[in-house]
Amino acid sequence: MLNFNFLSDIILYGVVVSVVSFFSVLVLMPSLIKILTTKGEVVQDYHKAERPRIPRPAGPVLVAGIGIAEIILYMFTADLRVVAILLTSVIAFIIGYIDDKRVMPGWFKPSALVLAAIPLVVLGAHDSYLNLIFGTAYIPLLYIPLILIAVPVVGNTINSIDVLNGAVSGFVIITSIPLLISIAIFGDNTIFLSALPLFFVSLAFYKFHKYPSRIFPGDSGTLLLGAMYGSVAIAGSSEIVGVIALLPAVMNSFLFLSSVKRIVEHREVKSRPTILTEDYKLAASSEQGAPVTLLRLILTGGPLSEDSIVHQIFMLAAFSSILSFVSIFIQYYFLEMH
Amino acid sequence: MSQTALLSFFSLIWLMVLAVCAFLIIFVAPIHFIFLEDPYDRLIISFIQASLAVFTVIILVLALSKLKKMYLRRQLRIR
Repeated sequence: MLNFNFLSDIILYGVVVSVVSFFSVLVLMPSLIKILTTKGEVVQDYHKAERPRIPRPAGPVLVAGIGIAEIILYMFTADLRVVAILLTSVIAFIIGYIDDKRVMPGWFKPSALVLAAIPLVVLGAHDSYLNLIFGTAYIPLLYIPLILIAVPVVGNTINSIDVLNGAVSGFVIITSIPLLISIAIFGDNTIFLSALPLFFVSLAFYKFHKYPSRIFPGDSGTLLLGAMYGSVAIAGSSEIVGVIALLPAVMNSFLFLSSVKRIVEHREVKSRPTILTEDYKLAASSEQGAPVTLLRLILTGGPLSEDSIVHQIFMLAAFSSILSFVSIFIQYYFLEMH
Repeated sequence: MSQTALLSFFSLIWLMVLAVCAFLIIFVAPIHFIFLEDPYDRLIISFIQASLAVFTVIILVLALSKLKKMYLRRQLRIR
């Protein structure tokens, strides 16, 4: 739990890392949009009538915002766990950046992301106890393979929800709120402070990514946010709470994998889960072989416009965050009261 | 209707996750008491706990798969 004996430090460091991460993205992003547009590093936005060309990836500015804030926090605290979270995020960014620049096979991201989890293990950012809502389990050995699996899973889960304008940035903003509260209760001061840039970077990025998008995050941006989400959840003893908050994205990945039965990129799947109608709305595909995704489930009620679908994704994220809050309450009752 | 069905679907998954957590806490976590005096207890405990946890997660995944099929049959009318 947060140690309020250091309340003035929490407020001072918290304000510094929040302001630095938020304004870094806000100030640097317009320049990146210009540079990428000039260099022709753009992709078509297929869900709009005029098919605008949108610059991609936003990852370099997101990693700059997180990097600057975490380095400042490390200078304040000299806590190696901050370095572990930063390294995990940066490695995930590099893996995503490679995937942005070259067409890599489907297995590349999940396998390479195991590397991103190594700093958490080597620098001892994890605990030996796993909070399981109704109590804790002491798993000193089992925890290490769990970390090596969790970071790639969360990274790819966040990556899979990057389907429409503003979806991934808004999703991370909403679902990082219960995570931050959980870390404040079950984690400690340093991890809470190191998790703040995740929320503030996503918040600043949403300004550019919301419908209609001015820039796309790319794999470098989504893997960065996903790996950071996973690493702060692990370091902040909030693993299950984090999984519950991410349920819509977790189910999206699960539905996709269980329908295509192998690890592949979305571009490699022949049948699309959704179709574009003549009035540029999205509709669920009626093809039996089409993969099942969250988007397809949302569209079972009928065709919807892009911004309406994103709104529904946010509603689901808010709902899973409420479930996450209930889980935090149950966990607090069992761990702190008993 | 679609949104309500999805929310119910997620609530059910959440309850399944809580059930798995409860099972692990009640049955898997206390295993270390059995091996308290054993010099190899740490390895043995971790192996048994890992096996049980993996088995439980496999059951959860199978249950989720079943739940998904039931949901899809209703919503997408896929055979």
